[in-house]
Amino acid sequence: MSWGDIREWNAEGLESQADDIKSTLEDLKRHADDLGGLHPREWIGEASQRARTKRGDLVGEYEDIAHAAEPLWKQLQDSADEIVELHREQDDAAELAARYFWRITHAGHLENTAPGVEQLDPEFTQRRQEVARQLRTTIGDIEERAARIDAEIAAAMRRVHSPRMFRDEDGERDRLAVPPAGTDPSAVGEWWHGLSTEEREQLIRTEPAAIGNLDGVPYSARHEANVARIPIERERLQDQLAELQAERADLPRGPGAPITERHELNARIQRVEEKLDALDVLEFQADRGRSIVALDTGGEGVRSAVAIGDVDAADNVSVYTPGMNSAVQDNMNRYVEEIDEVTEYADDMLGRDPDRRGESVASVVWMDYHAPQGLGSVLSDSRAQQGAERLAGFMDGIPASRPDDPPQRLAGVGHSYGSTTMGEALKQTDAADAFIAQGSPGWYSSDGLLVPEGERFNLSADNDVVADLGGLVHGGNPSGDATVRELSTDDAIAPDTGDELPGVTGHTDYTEADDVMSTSEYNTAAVMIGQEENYIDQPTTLPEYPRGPR
Amino acid sequence: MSGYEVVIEELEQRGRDAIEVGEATKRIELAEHADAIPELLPGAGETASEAATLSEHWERQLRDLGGRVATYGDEIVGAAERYEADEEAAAEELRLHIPQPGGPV
Repeated sequence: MSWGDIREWNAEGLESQADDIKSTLEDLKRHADDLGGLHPREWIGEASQRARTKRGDLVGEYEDIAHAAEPLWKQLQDSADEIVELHREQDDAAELAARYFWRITHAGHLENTAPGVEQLDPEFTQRRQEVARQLRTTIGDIEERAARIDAEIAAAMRRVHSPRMFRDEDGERDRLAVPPAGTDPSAVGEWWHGLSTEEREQLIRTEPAAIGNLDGVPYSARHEANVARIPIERERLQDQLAELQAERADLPRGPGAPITERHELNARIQRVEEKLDALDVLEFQADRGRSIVALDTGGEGVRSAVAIGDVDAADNVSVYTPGMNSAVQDNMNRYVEEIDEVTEYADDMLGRDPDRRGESVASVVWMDYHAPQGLGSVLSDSRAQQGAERLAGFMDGIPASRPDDPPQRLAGVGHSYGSTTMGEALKQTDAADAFIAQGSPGWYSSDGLLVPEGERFNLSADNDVVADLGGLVHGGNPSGDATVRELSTDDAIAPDTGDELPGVTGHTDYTEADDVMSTSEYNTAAVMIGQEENYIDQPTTLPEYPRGPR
Repeated sequence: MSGYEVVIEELEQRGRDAIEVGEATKRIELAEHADAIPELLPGAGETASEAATLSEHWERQLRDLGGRVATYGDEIVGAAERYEADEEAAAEELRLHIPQPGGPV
């Protein structure tokens, strides 16, 4: 669509159509109410029951039509408001153009209204050219926003006429049938957005385990479902613990006692106790306002993901994955504190940029995989491969859960073995705009990595034994990879503030939560939000050391 | 007029009311609102294409629903006619509270 088309958009008419649709849907609901009251109380028996069921179904259909159309009239109202704003900006642009002898044509080009004016005054001519550049940016921006409005209204209409549905246990298409595991997150997102508020609430209540982990469902809903599950899971695990303890108490003692059986029971008891500890950690995080966006208590340990900020609305979202020996009960709190600090640095960085001041940032600490516990499993890539599949789905779920307003930037951050998992995941999804690895043992090869070149970064601190492993495991630290940009972890000066940033050494301090912004944290924050002018590169030449007397 | 007749008449009337609801549903002009939107947004190609599909969808959906509601009404009227012709069926399927002579009122 062109500049002139947008000028002709009728916000008032759209608002009025929204009101008309709303009022027509109210007529529909009235018909449903009328029909609902049409059953004589005195009529009983089989025929009456059949008629009652049929009438109930018909009333339900009226309600479904009204529910399905509700997001459309709301979208039309929102779009009408946005169009009013666009028109105001178009008026401002036209006025500015006229002051400098430009006219914005129907097609969005600038037309010179006073040929020869540029020969009058060089200073005015220079300012006029600057205004022309500024106008072209404004025109592009307005046309882009108008295209988005078009896409949003079209998407809202599509959801009314082709709502996503899945099959229930009986094979019938049902609005409330939960999509099966492995369903494309974008299909899940479409389905969820086609449901009414009441239907969503019902599903959170009746299917919390599925909704809490379903990629494509918004994170506020996942949190609600998971938090509701914590006391239920705790009770289940406490019962399990009591049973195991009773079983152990019944084991005979003394000579000939079954030692292996006792050891096995001890290990199982320990595992259940660890799961209970993990639930306490998640409850603690939820109480502090963080969102529990994944929760699985099956298998060898609790898997989970905790979000900082509003993943459903943030302009910039990042997902952090830790590596070896990470477990919810042992170090989720620590990772959340660390990433919370880096997220805050990213937020501050946005605040310092006048062009990005209004933007927001959110992060997720993703521990929804069984990270290797100990050297034996860290040498194998199997945990990374298993985790990568889940992580790819999670990354896909972020834009899919926000079909009308996806984040403008999604970054993957991986530490140590977590970078191997993240690297493998980002070969399965193109959802991420950027990838930054910290202390990485590698991700085998960047071949097949779906993150664009120029958006792949590596941090490798001095004396980091894992990053220094060479090509011994997982392909080795990607320092030598030509498609990966090496950022600094040394002492440096922040480009935007001029502040001194301390360097880090070793394997575990890339994002230490100590209220001191290190170069590593600064770079991680800059990549999270794509603040390119702030990236601090790793010096390519060796520093000059002071020469002493020979 | 006996108790049966009163209930049968009521049943018939409710059937007719349902037929009216069905016919009114068919006349609801939701599709027209979808048709009107592209004119308000010249050049919005995606909206224009989806609006046409939505208009057809609403048109078909309401015609279909209205038709089925009217059929439901017809069935109720049919049941009333059957009860009128068959007192035994009426006695079985219509719960009546008719004061009996000499009985409690």
